[in-house]
Amino acid sequence: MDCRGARLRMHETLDGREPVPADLTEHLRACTECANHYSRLRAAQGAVCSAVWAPVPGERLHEAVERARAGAEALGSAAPTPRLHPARLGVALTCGLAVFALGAWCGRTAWPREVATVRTEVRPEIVERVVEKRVEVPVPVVEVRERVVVRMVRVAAPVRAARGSRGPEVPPARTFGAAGPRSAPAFHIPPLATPVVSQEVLPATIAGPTRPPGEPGDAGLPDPDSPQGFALAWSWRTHYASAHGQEAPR
Amino acid sequence: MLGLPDRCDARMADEDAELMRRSKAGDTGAFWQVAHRHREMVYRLARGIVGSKDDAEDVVQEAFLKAFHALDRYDTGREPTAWLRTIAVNCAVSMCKRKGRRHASLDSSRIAEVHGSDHTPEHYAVAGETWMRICTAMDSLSPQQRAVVTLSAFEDLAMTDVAETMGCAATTAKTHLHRARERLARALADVTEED
Repeated sequence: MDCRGARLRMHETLDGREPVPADLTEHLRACTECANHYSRLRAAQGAVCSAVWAPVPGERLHEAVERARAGAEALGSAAPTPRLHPARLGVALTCGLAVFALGAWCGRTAWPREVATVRTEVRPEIVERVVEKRVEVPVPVVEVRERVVVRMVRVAAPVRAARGSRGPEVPPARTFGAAGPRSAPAFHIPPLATPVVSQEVLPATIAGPTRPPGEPGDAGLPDPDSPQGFALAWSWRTHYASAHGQEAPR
Repeated sequence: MLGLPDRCDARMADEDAELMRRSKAGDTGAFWQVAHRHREMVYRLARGIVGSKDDAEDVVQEAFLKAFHALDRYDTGREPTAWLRTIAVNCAVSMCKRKGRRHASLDSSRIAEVHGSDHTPEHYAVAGETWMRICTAMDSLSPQQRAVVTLSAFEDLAMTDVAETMGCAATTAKTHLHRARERLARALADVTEED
């Protein structure tokens, strides 16, 4: 037996319940340090056991018990107070958390209805924005066209016969009138494929096809479909029939 | 060993068990009979752990009050003495933790209680000094170590009963007891050498 094992066995024999084993006795005879330690432990154990005990104050203890009895009666509950066991409390809390988590996950509980209402009101806002983007007010564009007559004199283009040439020379577009002596409005004349020898800008005319005078639809006569034109045509046929001996139209 | 508490014989144990069954059935008077039968045992435990006489009386009052309110959790198959001992030790340790490290050695009333007045002044002085050293050594222990020393030395309980009362494993109780003995041996080295 070594010193460590001997010191562990010492405590088992100090209370006197077990006899000192033979191997411990041999070790104590051989080891002086362990023997001194064992004697100190026994002396301290004996001193504590013999000195600490004190007589009991019987009358004061009786009063202490009666005070406890009076306190219990003052609390008014002779019957034991039922209390929730900590394990049961933990189970209840766990179940409550599980129910709450399940409800939150399903979205059926734990959230007030006002929140859902606010969510449904958000969509029309987005739709209105889209509608506003689609509504566009076109800006009216007024175009005033003026027709001019450009008289051009064209001659046969001198085609270059040289190989590798880019073809006949095309003159660039010209603008007439802007700097002319009559201060006519500027007109852009697209270039022609054939070279232009000379050209001039004539006075402008009103758009519309020109017809020979005296024919229906002429600019000088009213439209025959109109009441004025119909009346004029009716009078002309009546006059023509009487002049040629024909029956007047009905 | 001087001053060992009186052992409850089989007849007393049976009476205690019957009184506890009546107490649990609602007879409060039976419970207070049990309290008066075991008040000295509870006081000895409290005195050994808390040190002070006044604190020990407070522990007695608190322990019986707690035991009264814990009657519904009392197991009728358990010995009433062991049940009250557990409650008393827990109350005493809790009081030590609440009040912190106490200097019970300054409680000079212990000296007169232990040695009485039938000794010479010289003997009284020497014994008083030795007593103060022992009290100082006991106060250097933790509440758990004091409880283990009190249960094993004063109540003469086996280590399994000590562990059951403390509510811990037997190895833990042994560790507390071994460390307490080592510390007491170091603190009382000069006292024991003089003897």
